Amino acid sequence: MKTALILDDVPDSQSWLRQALASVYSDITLSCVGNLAEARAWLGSHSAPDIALIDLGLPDGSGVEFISELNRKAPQTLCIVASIFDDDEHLFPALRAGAQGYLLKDQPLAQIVELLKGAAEGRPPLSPSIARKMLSYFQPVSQPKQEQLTEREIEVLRFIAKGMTLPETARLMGISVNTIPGYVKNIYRKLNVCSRAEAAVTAQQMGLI
Amino acid sequence: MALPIFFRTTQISLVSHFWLTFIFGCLAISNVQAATLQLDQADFVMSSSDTPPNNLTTWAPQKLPDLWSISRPGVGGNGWYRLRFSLRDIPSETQAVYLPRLCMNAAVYLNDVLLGDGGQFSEPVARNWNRPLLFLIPPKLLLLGENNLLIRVYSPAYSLGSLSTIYVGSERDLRPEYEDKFFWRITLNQASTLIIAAMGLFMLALWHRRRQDTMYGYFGLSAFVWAFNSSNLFIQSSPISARLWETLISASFQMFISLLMISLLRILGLRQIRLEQTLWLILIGSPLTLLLIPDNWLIAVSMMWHLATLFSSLAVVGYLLRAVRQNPQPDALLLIGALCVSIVFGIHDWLKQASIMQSGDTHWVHFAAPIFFLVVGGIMTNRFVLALNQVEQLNTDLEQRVQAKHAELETQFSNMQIIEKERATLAERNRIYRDLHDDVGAKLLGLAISAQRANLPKEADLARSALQDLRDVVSRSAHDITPLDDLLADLRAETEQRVQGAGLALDWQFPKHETALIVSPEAALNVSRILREAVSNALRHAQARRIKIIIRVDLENFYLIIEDDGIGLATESLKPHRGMSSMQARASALKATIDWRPVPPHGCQVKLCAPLTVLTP
Repeated sequence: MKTALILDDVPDSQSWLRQALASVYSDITLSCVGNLAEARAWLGSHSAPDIALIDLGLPDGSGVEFISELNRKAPQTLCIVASIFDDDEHLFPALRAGAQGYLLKDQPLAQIVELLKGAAEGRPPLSPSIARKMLSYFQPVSQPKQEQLTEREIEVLRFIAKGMTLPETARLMGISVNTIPGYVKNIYRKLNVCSRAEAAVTAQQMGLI
Repeated sequence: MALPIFFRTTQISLVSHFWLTFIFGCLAISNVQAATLQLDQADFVMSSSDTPPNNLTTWAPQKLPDLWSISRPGVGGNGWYRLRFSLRDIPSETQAVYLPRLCMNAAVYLNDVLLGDGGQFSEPVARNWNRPLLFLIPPKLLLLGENNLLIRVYSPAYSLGSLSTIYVGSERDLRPEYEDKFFWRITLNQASTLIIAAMGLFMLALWHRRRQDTMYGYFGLSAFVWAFNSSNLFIQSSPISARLWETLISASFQMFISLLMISLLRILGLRQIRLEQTLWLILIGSPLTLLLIPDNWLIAVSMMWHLATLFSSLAVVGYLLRAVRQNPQPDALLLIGALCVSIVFGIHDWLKQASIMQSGDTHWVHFAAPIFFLVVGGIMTNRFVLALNQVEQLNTDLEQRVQAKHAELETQFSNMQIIEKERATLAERNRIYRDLHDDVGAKLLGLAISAQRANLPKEADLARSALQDLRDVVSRSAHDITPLDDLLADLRAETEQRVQGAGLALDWQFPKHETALIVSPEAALNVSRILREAVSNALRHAQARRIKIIIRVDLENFYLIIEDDGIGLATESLKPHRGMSSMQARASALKATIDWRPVPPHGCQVKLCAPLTVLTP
């Protein structure tokens, strides 16, 4: 990780996130913007960052818009939602738009650091409510989706949705705890793929494409 | 409703007409007084002269009643009957000559004086074939001793000339007999003709309004043709020549039957193309042939057509029987009954006309027609009433459906109002959420960050738990009912993070079995807060290393036990501090009990016991 972009309108949390990022990657180049317009302008004049921490409730719109723009322009950028809300109503749109993780800004620094490391290493977080949302999104099998979840992935989601921790899930499934993040990451990817396909279909139906 | 009632009364008059005709017709046997002379020995001569034949004429004896079809077949013209009777004294009362039946016209002369006639003898000849004639004898015309009665009877060759027994007696005795016959043969038939014509008119009007129901049209036409045919029973002076009249009357019978049969087939929905074609052939062929053939063939040809009609009626009966066998319906059975009776009557009349059978002087088929009109009229009325009932039923159904739709619309409207209200509530909640997020959320976050930077973990945790409370309040899913399992899953994830973040170990024990319980939003909030507060206390004050959380659900209660292995409750801590009192307040909102007690060897246990009835919405 060489470059990072922080999109947050509260100076306190901006600096908090800077601190967290700097403590994970000591020689990272950090840029901070306070609203959507600034973020777009920044993206116009810079190459896409390796990692982006994005707040959702911005003065001029939702961070979800920027996540999908960034995801379209630079899919390799690791997008992480940094918010004070972690319920599925807030997070799910961001995850669909391509966010690969989320963190609560009020968490202790150690936990934020841990989360950032995990996301960078392919261990995205997954709360029970997000897991339930994922299940219900993929569940109606009759609805044709670009990608379907595998049996294993569904099993992982089910255990997490019930409040099991990752080690417990691994133990119950009889697999190594190190393989679980791979499933979760794949679920995130499939969610994004399906959302993009759905968006394309919707756009087509509306005559935009 | 006036129409069917009218129709029903019509039928009643028809049925009474028929039965009265039949019963009284049977009773009305000639019952002439003994004083009356009954003359059945006559002399006969054919003469073309309009005046009584002179004495040179050669008379031949002839017994009365005299049917020309038997005594002189094929002969037409003037026939003269001479009847002689002698009186021993001149009666004081007015005397009369009574001719109960004759054909076609007659004139009566007594002692060479014309007493009267039934109408004109030149074309069109007066028609008296179904009419009794009564002539008064002027006083002084009757002679003591022998009297000479001459009766001139005119019948065309194509008619069946006849003269019945003659009666001479007092007018007082003869007139009731004459009037009786006149009523049954003339007045009653006039009335029934009018009624049937009216019925025909009604049916035609019905057809005019419903062109697709051709059966009504045919039935109306047949009624009219029948009315025309039965006018022959009482019309005395026809407006057209006797020959043409005779032909039309004869043909109208076939036409009537054919039209009626076509309408019957259509009433019962039987499409018999061949049979209908045959009926049409009779309908058109009968009047045409009868008009074109010579006079002396008239009777034979009309008998032939009668026979054809009879057979086609039998064919209709056959089809009706077949239809009934396939699909028994009362309408068809009734029709078959009426048809059979009519056919028997028709056969009777045909045999009588063909002089094969002798039976009274009544034509039966005229009684069959009213039966028929009664039955068919009844069926049609029934259908009409059924259709009316059906329309009423449909109307009622429609009204009910409209009402149901109305109710549905009202429900939808109220649903829409509810949705509208929910939408407004949601908008309001979003506004509050934004404010909370932007202001309170940012401030609490700032507080949490500052506390962390200042290395004040307890204050940081306080700020965090305040932020968590805020999350609970504004989080949209917190306003919906939640399955208990989902709530516990979320609580575990949150608690896990907090406990691990504080460097402690968490031992979380879910209920032994999954539950299908649903928790109301208020209960979910209260349970979350109690758990959070208890964990906060353990993290802040207990100096514990591990926290154990046990959740149990039995048939009546929900249990939440938070246990730590910390220093336990110091006596001064037992006095309620703010956290504990707020937990107690939340517990009482759940109608739950909450208590604190030390656990050996050291530590504290908080136990919440909430009844399920309060937990669920």
